[in-house]
Amino acid sequence: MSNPLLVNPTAFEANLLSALAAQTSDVDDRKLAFESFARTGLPHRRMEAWKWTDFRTALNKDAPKADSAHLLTPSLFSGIGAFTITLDEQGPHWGDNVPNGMTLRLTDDVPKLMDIVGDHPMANLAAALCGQTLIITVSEDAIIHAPIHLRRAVTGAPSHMRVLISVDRGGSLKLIESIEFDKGGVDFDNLLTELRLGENASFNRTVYCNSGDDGVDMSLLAAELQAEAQFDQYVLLSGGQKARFETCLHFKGEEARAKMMSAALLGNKRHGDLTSHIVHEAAGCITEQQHKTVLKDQAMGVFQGKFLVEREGQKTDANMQANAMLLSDQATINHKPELEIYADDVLCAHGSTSGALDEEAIFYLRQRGLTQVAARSLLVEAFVGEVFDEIDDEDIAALFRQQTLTWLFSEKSDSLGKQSE
Amino acid sequence: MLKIENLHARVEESEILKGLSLTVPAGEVHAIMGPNGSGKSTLSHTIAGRDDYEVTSGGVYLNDTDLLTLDPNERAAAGVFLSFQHPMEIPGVATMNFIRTALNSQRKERGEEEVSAADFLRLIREKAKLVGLSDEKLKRPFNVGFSGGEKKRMEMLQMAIFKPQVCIMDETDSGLDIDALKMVGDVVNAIRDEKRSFLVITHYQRLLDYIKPDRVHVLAGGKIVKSGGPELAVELETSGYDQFIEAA
Repeated sequence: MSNPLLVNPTAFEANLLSALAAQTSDVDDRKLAFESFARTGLPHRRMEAWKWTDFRTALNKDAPKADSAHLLTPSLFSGIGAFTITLDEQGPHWGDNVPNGMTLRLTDDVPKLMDIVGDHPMANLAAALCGQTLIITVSEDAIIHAPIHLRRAVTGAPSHMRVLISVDRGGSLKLIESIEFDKGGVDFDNLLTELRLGENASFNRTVYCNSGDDGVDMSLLAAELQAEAQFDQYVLLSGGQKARFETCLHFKGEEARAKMMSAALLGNKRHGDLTSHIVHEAAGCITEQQHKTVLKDQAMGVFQGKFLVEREGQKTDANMQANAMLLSDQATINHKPELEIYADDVLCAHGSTSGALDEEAIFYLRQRGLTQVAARSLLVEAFVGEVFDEIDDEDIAALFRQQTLTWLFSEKSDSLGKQSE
Repeated sequence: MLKIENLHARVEESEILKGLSLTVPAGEVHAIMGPNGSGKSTLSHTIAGRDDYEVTSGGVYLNDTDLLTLDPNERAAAGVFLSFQHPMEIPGVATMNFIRTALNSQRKERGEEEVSAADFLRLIREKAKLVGLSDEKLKRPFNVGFSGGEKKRMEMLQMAIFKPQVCIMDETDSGLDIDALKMVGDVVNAIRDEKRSFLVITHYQRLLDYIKPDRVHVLAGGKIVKSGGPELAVELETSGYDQFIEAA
């Protein structure tokens, strides 16, 4: 097969070409984005940044065979009073009463990708194949009190979506993003979010990603932070057949801050990849990052975190911690923390640990009267609970704690020692 | 009454307890003294039911209950309490929540009603005062950032709250200053009664100035090699353990 856009495509990649041909507007812009994607095709294990998350293998068939009948309804977040924007087969849509200070619109255009996205293959794929792009704008000094819930709910077919968010100077936005499958899974969901955070603006993002046992899911957020901006992100990942959650931050203005707290609870044969790339290119910025993974059964976890401090990033204060707890000897964790520093007056640190539950601690708790299951679950809750303790919104923190319990006591797993009860 | 009969136990491939027999009648305090490596901590962990301590023969009974047939949590509910030599720090576990969960877990196992949050708060505050732990310490994650002495106070706090049938104190005096030693004595004396037994494991006689033992036993080479009254502890303080090590 000969095609100028993709050399030797897999069956799935050939379908992507068909999808591109079906697009009716802005074909040239889409083709440009697709050409960028086509230089590599779907990312695969021979690419360093993707060596543990091989989408080409996961999607190497006509279409993923996910059973998409298990979308959780209603959403876990239905009771917290959020304004909901749904991303489904109809594209992005929402109801009345958009909060004051915020505008929502859709465009058929293909806006130019932010420079910091670079040649990210999945971002280019989303830009090439998305239908309408959703644009969310928060005006200068506007504080949006009610959270905005961006619900990813495509069930029928592979989906490529793109969202552009701009929070202008002094503005504030709280965003909840979810993909919620209990079993089965999303077919293939690829979301690109681009964020521009103005001076002294704040953005608080809570994410719950459960792509289902069979789901394939990609989420990339690329953000630019101007001076004194504040970026907070709290994430709970439950993984999928192949799931990657990626964040790319660039500090463009001085004394901006980012706090990134995340946990991954992975069971069965699920895969969960949390990747981040934080670029400090302005002075006096602060990043605090902590990621915790708990694995059972035959799950695989991935953490790739990188701090790049450019010469302009003097007085950077950046700390990255990744910790993993393995409840099964068949589970796998891969950590790759990286520091690349070109400034000479910075405070940067990273730490990485992995291990099993502490048998001494389990004995201690059992000696005090807790059953084997109760002791082990208490230690797991405590391990990931340190991440949830950082969440300001008590309702969301409680929801994440409840999801942890649900996951711990889910079927199939004997990782808590149920057999010995 | 705690009764240990000809107990043999090993850790991995090493036999540590080699036919240990001991009876601690209800209401009595017995001290176990002995040199390093004689099996004192193995004895305490074996009674408490640690998985990797394998009993190869013998028996351990609390009143009529065969402890060796029970899981560690069931032994706790039956009334066995072990004060650890090196208490754990458990980040992320809220202290009061954990102790209340543990207390109610024991009560549930015994078929008793759970203690309400309000009653528990009154109870823990009363006992915290006895052991000298502040409210601020109770609000921290379990033992996190505590000094060695504070961790021992936390052990005594739990012992005072659970009110077990048999209290095994594994070198509770190690690392304690004079005030903390006195606190340990105060707790033991406060809950000492005709139904409760204490097995106090120690290297030194000094703790026994605050907790008057009814009997003192010397453990060497995995078994009791000598027993006597409180005067035996004083004698050991001057004569040391060499004679027992050589005999073992």
